[in-house]
Amino acid sequence: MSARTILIADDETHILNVLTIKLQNAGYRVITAQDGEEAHRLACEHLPELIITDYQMPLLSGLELCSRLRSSPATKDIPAILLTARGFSMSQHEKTQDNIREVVTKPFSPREILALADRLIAQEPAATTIPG
Amino acid sequence: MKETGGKAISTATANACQTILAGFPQWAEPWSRLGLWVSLWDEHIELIEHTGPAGAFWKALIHHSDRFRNRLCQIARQSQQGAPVVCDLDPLGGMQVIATPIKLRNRAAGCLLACGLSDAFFDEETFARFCDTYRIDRAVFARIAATLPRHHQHQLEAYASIMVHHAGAFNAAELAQGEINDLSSQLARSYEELNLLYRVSAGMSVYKKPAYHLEQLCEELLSITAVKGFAVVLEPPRYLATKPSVVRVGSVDATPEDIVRLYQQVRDRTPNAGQAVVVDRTHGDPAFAWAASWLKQFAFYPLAKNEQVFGGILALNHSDDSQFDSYEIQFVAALAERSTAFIENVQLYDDLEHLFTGLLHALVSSIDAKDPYTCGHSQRVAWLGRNIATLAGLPEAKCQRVYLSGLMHDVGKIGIAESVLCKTGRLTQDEFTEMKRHPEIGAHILKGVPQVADIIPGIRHHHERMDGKGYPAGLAGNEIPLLGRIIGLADCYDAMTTNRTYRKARPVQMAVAEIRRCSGTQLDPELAHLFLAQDVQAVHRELTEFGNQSTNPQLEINIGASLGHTI
Repeated sequence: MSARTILIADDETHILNVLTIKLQNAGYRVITAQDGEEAHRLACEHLPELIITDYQMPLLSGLELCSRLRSSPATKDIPAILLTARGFSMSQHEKTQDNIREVVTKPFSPREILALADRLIAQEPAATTIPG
Repeated sequence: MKETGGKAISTATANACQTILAGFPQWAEPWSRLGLWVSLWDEHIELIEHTGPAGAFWKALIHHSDRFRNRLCQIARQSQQGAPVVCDLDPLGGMQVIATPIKLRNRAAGCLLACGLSDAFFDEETFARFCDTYRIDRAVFARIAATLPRHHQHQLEAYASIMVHHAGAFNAAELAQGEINDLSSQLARSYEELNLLYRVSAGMSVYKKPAYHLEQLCEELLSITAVKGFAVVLEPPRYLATKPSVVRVGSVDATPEDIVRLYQQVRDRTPNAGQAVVVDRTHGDPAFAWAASWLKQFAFYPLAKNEQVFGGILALNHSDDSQFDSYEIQFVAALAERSTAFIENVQLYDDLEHLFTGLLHALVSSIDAKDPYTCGHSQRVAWLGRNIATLAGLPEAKCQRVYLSGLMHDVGKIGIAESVLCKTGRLTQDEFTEMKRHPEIGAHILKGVPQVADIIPGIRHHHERMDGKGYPAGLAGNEIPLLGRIIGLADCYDAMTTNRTYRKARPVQMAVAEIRRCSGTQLDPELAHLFLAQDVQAVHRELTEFGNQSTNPQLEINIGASLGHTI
């Protein structure tokens, strides 16, 4: 079985590095984006099994990204984890967008993110579309 | 791998080589397309990998000719001095060798070595001399050599200068990536610790038992560090003669007694209260021979306030029996520090609670003691009240308040003349009127203490009756506060089942019948029903046992100890 792909989007490269190392060591294939537009493009292109995205990003916020992905049949079922800075409040409506399965505050525990990723990916049925 | 001393260096070098090895094929590709043979050597000058046209030729050459191999090794070793080496394999030999050192910071950690052949190599005489020098079969090698790419000398020189730069850039890039990976791992670790600190701080509440918090803390530490087991020992407060409490997590095969013994041993050995002690190897130290079966190494963090040690965190055994790393030691120390403050608060809180209840018991004992017949009465009413409150489904915290209310219900008797209080025989009308003042006196006494405002209704109204014929306010039915109705029932039961000046104690069955008779008129019918639905005989036995306990003089002595730190 080919490696599962996770897309990580964050404008802070140190976060990208930390999560990449953690997830790669656990056997996942990782692709990264540093802004919302790039993340959207990569998500549509690679159809990852999971998206981990920061809330605040240039061009397109994590929330808007998830919203856009939800409106397309190809990407609407991809689960997402949203990372927010401590104390950043989000309205209930925003939090309950379907594809956002978990909201995690920073500083997060990399171990917990990995555990979350394992759980969310295991829950999804195997992808039937082959990424172009 | 050869011991180079210090685990950190070996790992870094190993990682560096791994990273370079991974990137080697991509780096080597353009060079092999140009017709050069390219190879990667490690810091011990062992050939790890190579590529290039007619790789078989080179491989065979190295394999068959020790001399050739040694010559290459010599050049590679020379490059380890720090600078790239560009030279002919032999003078007039037609084989150009380019060796660039792989650097790990300032240490040489291997070599990228390339060979290229110029036209001169294929000159018959030169080739013959080459084969003789390196003891290879001319006929065999001539055939293979014919297929090898050849270059002009000036081309080789150009390649050499470019390759030196290229190899340098490749080296730098791969090592930088390796460092980034290392940093990211460290950063991930920092994130874990930060996250733990936040969670631990948020979770510390004075209302949770320290044992619960400490157990959580140890579990977290276990998953973040490479320590095999954690234990926390807390010494009991001075006025309690209990054993130290122990919390253990992890895979260390020690009993709580073992842990306490180790704790006491190390605590007594610590020069300054508050300093951490790390013992990386207990094996061979006679002081720890008793623990040799389970103890390999440990770190001890005292929990102390004002030079007084009141407990400690023990980190027991490290994975691979290796040393505790300084990062781990510091992190656990930080958490120990945080826990100290928390535990101290909890113990202070506990202390105050003990002080409070102790004083109350003393107070009511002194009131009850005036009349030998009412000795222990308040404690028993308190116990009964709590029993009834629990039956009525009140939450635990409320039941405790009912206990308190029961304890204090007759405190007003302190304002009643002794002649009335201790009179044997029946009271006159006037004397009875005097006696009836005690609920309001009690309420009045406690009026000035806001912390007990909620228990006052139990004191003021415990002599009310459901039919409104009670005192002091003549309230009826549910107008009577619940506390009053509960204490009223409890008071009634205890009064019937204990000796009085005017009559002996009634047997339980009679008390039960009496309660049933008064249910609805004097007593709250629902509460009475709940109370009687129990096995009242069994409850009475428990009550008697409790009563015997609380007149234990031990309690009075403890209060003295609470008030000051020295007796």
